[in-house]
Order: sequence, then structure tokens, then C-alpha cells
Amino acid sequence: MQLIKISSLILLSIFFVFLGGIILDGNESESVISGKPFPVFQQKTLDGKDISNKYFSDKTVLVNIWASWCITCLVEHPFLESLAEDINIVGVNYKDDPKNASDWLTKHGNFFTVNIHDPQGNLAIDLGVTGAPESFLVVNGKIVSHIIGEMNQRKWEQHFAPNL
Amino acid sequence: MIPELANFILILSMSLFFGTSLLGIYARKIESARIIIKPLFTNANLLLLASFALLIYLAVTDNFSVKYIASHSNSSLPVFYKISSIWSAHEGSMFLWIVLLGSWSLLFVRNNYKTDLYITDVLIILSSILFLFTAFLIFTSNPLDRVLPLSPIDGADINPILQDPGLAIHPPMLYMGYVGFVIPFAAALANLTSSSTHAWEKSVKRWTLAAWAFLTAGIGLGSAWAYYELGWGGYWFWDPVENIALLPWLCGTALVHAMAVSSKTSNLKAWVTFLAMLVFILSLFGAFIVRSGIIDSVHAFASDPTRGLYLLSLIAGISLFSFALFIFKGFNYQKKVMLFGSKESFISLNNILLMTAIFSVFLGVLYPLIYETILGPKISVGPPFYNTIFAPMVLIAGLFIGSSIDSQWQRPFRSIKLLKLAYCLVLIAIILAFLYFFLGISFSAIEGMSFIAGSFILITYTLSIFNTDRKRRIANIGSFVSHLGFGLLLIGIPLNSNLSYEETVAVVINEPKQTERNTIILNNIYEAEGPNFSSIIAEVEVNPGTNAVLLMPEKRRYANRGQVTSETAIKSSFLRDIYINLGELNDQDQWILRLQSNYFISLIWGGIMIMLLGILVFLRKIKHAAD
Amino acid sequence: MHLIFKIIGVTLLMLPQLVFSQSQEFIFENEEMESRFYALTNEIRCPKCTSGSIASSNAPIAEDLKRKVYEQILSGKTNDEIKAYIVDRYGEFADYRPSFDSWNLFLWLGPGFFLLIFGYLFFRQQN
Repeated sequence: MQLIKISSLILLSIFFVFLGGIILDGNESESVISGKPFPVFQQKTLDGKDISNKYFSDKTVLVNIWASWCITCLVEHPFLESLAEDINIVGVNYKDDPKNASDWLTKHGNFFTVNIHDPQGNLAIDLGVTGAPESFLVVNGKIVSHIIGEMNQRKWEQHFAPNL
Repeated sequence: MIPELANFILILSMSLFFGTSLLGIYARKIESARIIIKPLFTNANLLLLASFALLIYLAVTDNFSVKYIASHSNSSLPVFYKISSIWSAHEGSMFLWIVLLGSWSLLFVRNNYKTDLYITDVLIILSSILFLFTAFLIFTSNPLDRVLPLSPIDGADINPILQDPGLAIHPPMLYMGYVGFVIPFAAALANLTSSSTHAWEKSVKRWTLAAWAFLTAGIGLGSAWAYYELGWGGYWFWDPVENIALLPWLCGTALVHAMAVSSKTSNLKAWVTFLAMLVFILSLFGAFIVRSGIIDSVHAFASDPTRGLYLLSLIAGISLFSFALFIFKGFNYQKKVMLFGSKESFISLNNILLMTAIFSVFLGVLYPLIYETILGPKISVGPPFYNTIFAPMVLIAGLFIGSSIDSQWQRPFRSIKLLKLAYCLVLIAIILAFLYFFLGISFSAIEGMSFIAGSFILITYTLSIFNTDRKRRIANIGSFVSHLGFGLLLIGIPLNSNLSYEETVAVVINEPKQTERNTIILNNIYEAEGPNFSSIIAEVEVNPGTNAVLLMPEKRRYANRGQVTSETAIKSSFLRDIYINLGELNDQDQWILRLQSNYFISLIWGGIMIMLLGILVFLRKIKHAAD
Repeated sequence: MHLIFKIIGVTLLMLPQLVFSQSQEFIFENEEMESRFYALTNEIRCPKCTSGSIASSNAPIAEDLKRKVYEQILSGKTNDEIKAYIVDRYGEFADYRPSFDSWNLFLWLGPGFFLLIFGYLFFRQQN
């Protein structure tokens, strides 16, 4: 009986320690899409050429979801530009008007190897995208990493660089 | 100067609470010291109130040198919202929480004229809790901090959605409920520490009921606010924050019922003590969960875990201390045999169900956290889980509640009554068949369970009015009314869920749109100007002809931050609420309208109000008995 | 929006976005499809929101997912297929009904377990 009493108190303490651990823990969980092959698709690029998932089968690229209406995309733009020297960046122009998208690229600089036009956001949904901006690291047709929101030095070093 | 003064008074109050608890411990041995702890405690509380009053004054006079006021109030707000802005965010609502805690404690203590060891221990416990929380306020989340030297002239940009009377009175209501449970907690604990033999639960019964009534009202108000303001047509979402508020309510329900048993039959003494401790700890836990942001995201507080950790250690300390005391102190009440079928047995069985419900909701809230920590991926536990587990519990509880009206304290169930209950069930079966064959209503299993429970309560309770046995006519009108309200709620929920439907249609001005169940005409759509917003108002007619209903849903764009809100148009009747939202204009010049037909919402609000009414009647009766 | 949630989070309520910005109509061949649509959208969690289903959210992604569910219902997909489609892309997080298997049995069978424990404790006390 005494044993049950003491162990119930110990259990309660463990529960509180566990909650404390959760508060202190800072790791974010992995996206479900990581480790899966790049989804099958057949779409146009912004300049009207055909493109499909075969494009990714033999390359290492960073795929960036962006739009001309997206403010955070403008924030991460300079950083992506600096990355573009070392890695090919493929844009997915997300739920955007092609005219606005081209104007935006002309104005702010176009470092994208190619831009997939995704006006309905269909490819984006297949990628598990929740909004713009988001970035993926794709190695030989396989998605390796996925981050939501602005790409920056810290996220690059933490989530993308180790998988190159 | 005034913010510093308020701050100083707050610190003084904290020190006095500390002093009171120390002196209280000293006074446990030295009886002559006991007379001064109560005045000391009173003064600490008055200082706390004064500090809060100064904060209200600062908010009303737009003192934007106070950081909290600068970021949560605005000079253009009406006074009412300037005051309510105090509890619109973390620091201020914690302050309100503590002030209410102090006020409840003060009222309780001032109502007790004894100076025995028991009341000394009550004072020690209350002042320790108040000390710990005022310290938390001052050191981790002080609402009186200044923003000097540059203070904004007009305060913050206030979200228009926050200017809602429902939202302004709902938190104080809810907090009154939460912190009111400190009374049974302190009494139960003091009873253990002082090894007193007096009937502590009788003296705190009405306090517990009052707290429970506030919590019921607070949850009901929150639910109504969600229905009328959020515009989704729902009134309960099984959202973690809602679940956390439900836990103390469920536990409070178990407690007030168990108290009835222990005061009538002296059964369940230890159980009542346990519940009294648990109910306050669950309230604290609710504050912790919401404050730490732990359910929004596992990692919400990784950047600044101080508040979360402080609150967690507070709760850990309080609950470990009280449960250890409970476990090791031991009870030497004489055990009484509980007869199956007696009133106390039905209440006890429902207490088991309520405990199961509490632990299950708790599991549902924490499971995603545990899952993510151990296994990695995120997971959601939502309405389908809660509905599935609640339905059977509600069914069994309803059958027990309905049966209990024919039971007596400490008497076995009279078998002749079983036949009556069987007839009631047959009657319900006939009702269900009627609904199915004549009205085409076929409930899902989950809906059916709630419906059966609700109608069983309503039928058995109504029949008891005609009880020929004079002695056994409705003994307690308060409890009778409350349970009727609960029964109405239980049939309102499945009827609402089964019958309600939603339609999303595109309409052009003056062209009737025929859906399967309604005809909708957009008569007119025009722009209008409000005091600080511009709006687009649609005039929509539903089912023109015999029972036409005109509604005017609206879309507002607020000037100061360009925020757009939708104003739902609702036409309520007993049977059905027509609930319309105005959407966007699509590229074919059609307006999107969402029309919901929400059935029997009236039974849900009515049920909750009748429950509350019953509790108030009951409270009055106890008060008379106590006077 | 997250900020507003933080503010309101102090109270009991959750606060999804308060503007109804639907721009597509959902017309169905029959009531059965219609009620399936509203039931499903209430069980799929909005992946971008703090809390709430895609039926009770106007985040753009919630609208896109509603459209996907709508299209798939029209094309004759079953509820399970639609759920699988969403979970494939957004993970178990997007499903408000945890699957009834492996680890989740701890969740689903928890209530029954609690009932047994409390029932046992109670009857032991009485005898």
C-alpha cells in the first residue's frame, strides 16, 4: 500500500518534469514530405515551356515557393540571391498573375534557373505547402528538407546545408 | 508617479502575504498571535485591490507611459473598453486572476469568526498561494512596467474584433469560476493539516456552488460569443483552450454532487477532499496551459521559458504537497455501506464517469504533446475523438440521473420503480421511431446516445411532479430545475447536429437562387459608412412568399488597420436560426453567400440558462439555511 | 492572425480569422454529397492555423483544400481516399480524427482504461 502511494507521487513528479522538458525543448519536428520523391506533375513555366517532375531527377536544387503578393518573399529575396551562386534555385510562382510575377522579377532581380507557374496552387498542395514563402531541398528527385516561412542563414545552416 | 505608486503597493501587498503566511505558521503554536493574522491578510488584500484600482485608473486616464496600457489600449476607446483592455492580454489578465483570487479569499475569511487552528491553516494556505502568485506577477509579468522615456501618444492600434461586450465580460466571469475553487481547496487542505473534525465541506458548499455557477456562466457565455461573433455557426469546437476550461467544470460538477452525498450520508468524505484539491489544481493547470502557450505549439516558449517554468513549478509544488498530504494523512472516518440503488450510489457512479471524462479530456489535450515528444510527428486530437468518448458516458450518466429522481438517501431502490423506468425507455423508443418514420430524422449513434440520455432525464423528472407520495415530491427545486436544463441541453445538441445544414451559393442581384431546401434572393447590395469603418451590406431574402425572412449580412473594413471583418446576419426562432455570411464577389459578378440553417440552438442556450437558474435557486436555499 | 490568437487565447475562446472570404460556391448533386463535404471539411485541420478546421478558417490554404475536397467528392472519391490525400501531403496533423491503431490505441482506449481504474477503486473502497 505504502509502495503504491509513493509511486503515485513519483509518477506525478515525472509528469511535471516531462512538461518542463517540453517547455525547454526547442527542436522542431520534420515535415512529412521530407524523404519522399518530388510529386509527379506536368505544368508550364512562367515563360510558357513545358516542365515535369523529370526535371528534378538528376539535380540538386532548392525549390522556392514565392509570389509577387508575398511580402516575406521580398524579405528573403537577397539571401536567396546570395545562395544562387552555389545552388540552382527553382521557383514555384504560387497563385500569382504571370504579368505581376514577371514585373516583380524584373524589378527585384531574377536568379531563378526556372520558374514553374502554379496559378491554382496545385503543385504546391502536392508539396504540402501551406503558404508562401516555403523552401525545399531536392536532391536527385527526392525531397530532403522542407522549411516554412522565410529562408535565412540560420535555417539554411540548420536544415539544408547538412543535407547537401 | 502613479504607476510607481501602484507598483509599490503591489510589492507591499506581496510582502504582507508573505508575512501573513510566516506569522500564521508561528501562530499555529502560539495562540495569542492568531488575532493579528486575519487583519494582516485583510490589509494585504486591500493593498492588492488598491493596486488594481490604480491600474484601472491609469488605463482610463490613458497613461501610455505604462507599457502594458500603451500596447493594449487606445485613447479613442470608450471607457468600458479601456477597462476591459486590462484583461485582454497576459499580464493584466493574470493580475485580474490574482485580484479575484484575493477577493474570494477575503470574503470567505471575513465570513468566518473563529480563530481555531483550522482557520489559521486556511489563512496560511490562502496567503501562501496569493504570495506565490503576486510574486509571479511582479517578477515575470508585471503589468505596471513603464515604457520610458518615449511613450506613444495614442496607445496601440486596437483590433476591432476585441471591442465586443461579450469578450469584455467573459474572462472575469470565467476567472471568478476558476479561482473560486480556491475556497474548497484551502478548506480541504486546512482540514487535513489541522486534523480538525468539523464538517468543512458544509461550510464551503455554497462557495463551491457559487464558483461552479460562475464557471458555468463563463463557459456558456464563451460558447454564445463563438456562435454569434465568430460566424462559423458552431458553439463548441473542442479546442484545447475550451477543453482546459471544461476540466475544472467537470471536476466542480463531481465535487458539488459528492458534497451532497457526504453531507447527507457521511459517505465519500475522503473522495470529497480529493476532488476539492483536484478542482483547484485543474484550474491552475488551465492557467498554466494557456499562459505557457504549450498547446499552441510545443515550442512556443523555447525562446522565453521563464513564465511557463515558474507556473509549472508552482503547480507542481502545490499539487505534490496537497496530494502527499492527502495520501499520507489518512482518514479515520467510519466506513458506511453504500446500498446500490440509493441516491448516493447513483451520484457516486456518475462521479466515476465524471472522473473518467476529466482524465480522458486531459489525455486528449496532452496526447499530441506526448506523441510529438516521443515519436516526432505532429498529430491532432479533435472533435471526432471527444464526441465519440463523451457520447457513451453521457448516455450512462443520463440513465443514472433519470433513475436517481426515484431513489432515496440510504434506501435501496424500490423494484416497483424499475418498471416505470422501463416504460420511460419504451416511450423514448416510440419517440425515436416517430422521429424516424414521420420526420425522417435518423440519429447517428453518437447523437442518439445524447438524445436518449436527455429525453430520459426530461421524462423521469417531469413524471416525478405527479408523484403521489407526498413525502417524496420534488425535494429540491434547485436541483430539479438544473437537471431539467441539462436534459434540454442533451436533446438540443443531437437535434442541432443532426438537422443543421449549410449551403454555399453564388447569387446575382434579383435573381432567385433555388437550392434543394431554400430559395435565396439577393435583393440589394450597397455600401455604407460606419463610425470607423466602411461596409458592404447585402439584403438577402430567404424563402420569399409565405415565410420570408430578410437578413442583412455585412462586411466591414476598419480604417485604422485595414482589417476586414464579416458581420453574420442571424434570424433566430425556436426551431431554426438562419445564419448568413457574405463572401466575396467572384469573377462572374456573383456574390458568394453562405447560408446555414442551425436548428434548436434555442434549446442549447435555454438548457444552459435553466441549469444556471437551478443553481441560483439552490444557492438561495443554502443561504437561507445558513443564516 | 497569430497575434490575435495570443490575445484572445487568454480567454476560453479560439479565434479563427473573422472574415468570411469564400469566393467559390459549392453546389452538389445531392444532399448526401453536401453533408459529406461539410462533415469532411470539419474534420480536416487547417495546416496553417493555430487551431480550427478548414471549414472554420479562411486562410487561403484552407480555401484551396476545401476546393480540393469539393472536386474529389464530385469525382466520386470516398471519404477515406480524400482523407488519405490530405494526410499524405500535410501529415496526421491535418486529420482531427486520430487513426485507430498502434500508438493511438493509448488514446482511444484511454477512457475505457480510466473507467476501469476508477470503477475498481470505488468498489474496493465500498467493500
